[in-house]
Amino acid sequence: MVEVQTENRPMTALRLEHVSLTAGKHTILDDISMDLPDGRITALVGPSGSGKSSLLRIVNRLWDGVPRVRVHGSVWYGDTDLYGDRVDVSVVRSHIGMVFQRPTPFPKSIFQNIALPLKVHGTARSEISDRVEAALQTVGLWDEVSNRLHQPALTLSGGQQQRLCIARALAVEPTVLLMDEPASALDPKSRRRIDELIMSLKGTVTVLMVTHHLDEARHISERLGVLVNGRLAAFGETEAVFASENDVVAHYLHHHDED
Amino acid sequence: MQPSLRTVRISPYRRLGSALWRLVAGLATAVMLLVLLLIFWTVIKGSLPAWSLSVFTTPTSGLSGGLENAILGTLWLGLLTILAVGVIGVATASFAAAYAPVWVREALLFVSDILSGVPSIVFGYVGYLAFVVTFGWGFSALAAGLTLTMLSLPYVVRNTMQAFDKVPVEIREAAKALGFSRARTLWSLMWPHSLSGIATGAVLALSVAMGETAPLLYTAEWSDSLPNLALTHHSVAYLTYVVWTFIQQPYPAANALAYMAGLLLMVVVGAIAFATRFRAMERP
Repeated sequence: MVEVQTENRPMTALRLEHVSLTAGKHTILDDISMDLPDGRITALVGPSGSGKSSLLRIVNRLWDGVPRVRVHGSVWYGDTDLYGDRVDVSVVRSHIGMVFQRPTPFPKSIFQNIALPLKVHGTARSEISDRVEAALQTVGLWDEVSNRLHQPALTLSGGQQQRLCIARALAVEPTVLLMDEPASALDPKSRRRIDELIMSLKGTVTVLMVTHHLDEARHISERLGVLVNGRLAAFGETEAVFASENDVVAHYLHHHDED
Repeated sequence: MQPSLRTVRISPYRRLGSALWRLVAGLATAVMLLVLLLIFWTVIKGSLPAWSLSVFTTPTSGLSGGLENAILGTLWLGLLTILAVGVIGVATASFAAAYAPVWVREALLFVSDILSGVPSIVFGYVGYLAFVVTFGWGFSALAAGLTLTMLSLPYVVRNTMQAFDKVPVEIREAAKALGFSRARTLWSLMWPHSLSGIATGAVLALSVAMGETAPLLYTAEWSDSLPNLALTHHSVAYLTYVVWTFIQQPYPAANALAYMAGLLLMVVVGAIAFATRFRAMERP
């Protein structure tokens, strides 16, 4: 792994220490270590099948209960190892939210989509509608849907659905948000909106996002990790990584035709 | 170059084969429809002497009277069955979908298939030994209802599991990522999403249960009086008993009641099946 120079060291929100992922005899991720600075946007890029999404799923323990898959190493959240004993997975997931590649609204109303996770995490009934509104404001959806909160979420456009899913994840006020190519299934205009939304989260939420688009990664992120074949080939300040002269990293970053 | 299809004259043999096939298929369809008509004709014609309102308002007395006790008894047993089979069936399918490892799930489906292949009279005998004798409930609504429940359970389990399978994996995963417990995912997302599938299974189970005779002979016995709400130690009347017993009697009035009972069962079960089919067609 290439060590890329870091100038100032902000607080660390999340630290992966020698994390590996195996499925049966296959090693999917091999000895990944990285620090996510608090309140910053970190992007993960790499060829298809390099394990980007798998790495994301490790952080909020989505591999739990998947047969034959095992996570090794530690993921430190403050002084808690998320894979240690006596960790309540539900609490982990309320601190670490996730947004998927394709919008996944529940087949319920727009309001219920956000209210349901709030109820699950014990938000008082009286606070729920304020929190729903706040979440919709954050993602810029409030003006578009405030007059039809009780219509099915599936009546929204793809881009709106994805913003609803981001609102749903943000509503429970996580400190870390994982995003798995959140804009890749959308049209260019919706994509830009999502990118702007992610940038607006800077300072309040720590974002770890997977992307296929190097321009997007360069534009949005402050930290960049390059995953190749399940190994972290480079990790550091985004511009520094782009300037890296390491063969594997430079080859991927500069001779990569955006699929 | 202009596109063109090579045209071939269809051989007489092929024409003949095609016509024959059409004929056979058409005949088969006609035979099936004829059988259905024959059944209706027989039942309606046989029941004609019994067409009177008193069928619904008087219970049987010996081999005559009306069918009130049998109609209410069948509905009573149907209600008990659909309640029990709904709860047990949905709970089983929920366990399989949310908690059980894959092999347990597969095993459950397999067991459920075996269960649906067991002859109903065997269920009757098992129900008799378990509920009537061992539990000491006597011939009773509860013994009969639970026996019908065992028999119709596979329909609810299978339909519910299939309905659960239609809930997109992405949605279940999103719920998981938001910190939903499995129970919460089940009752907030899986159940509401699967309601029509569950209802289809329950109604199918109900129509199977209402048409059964053999298991009830062993567990409900028969009674000339109207069913009461007692769950145990009271025999219950039911329509299929009338069909089975009254048809063998040398009295025309008894025979007419037997046909009438058959007709009522066909109408009720048919209406239920039609209602579910209709709902299924309505859905996009």
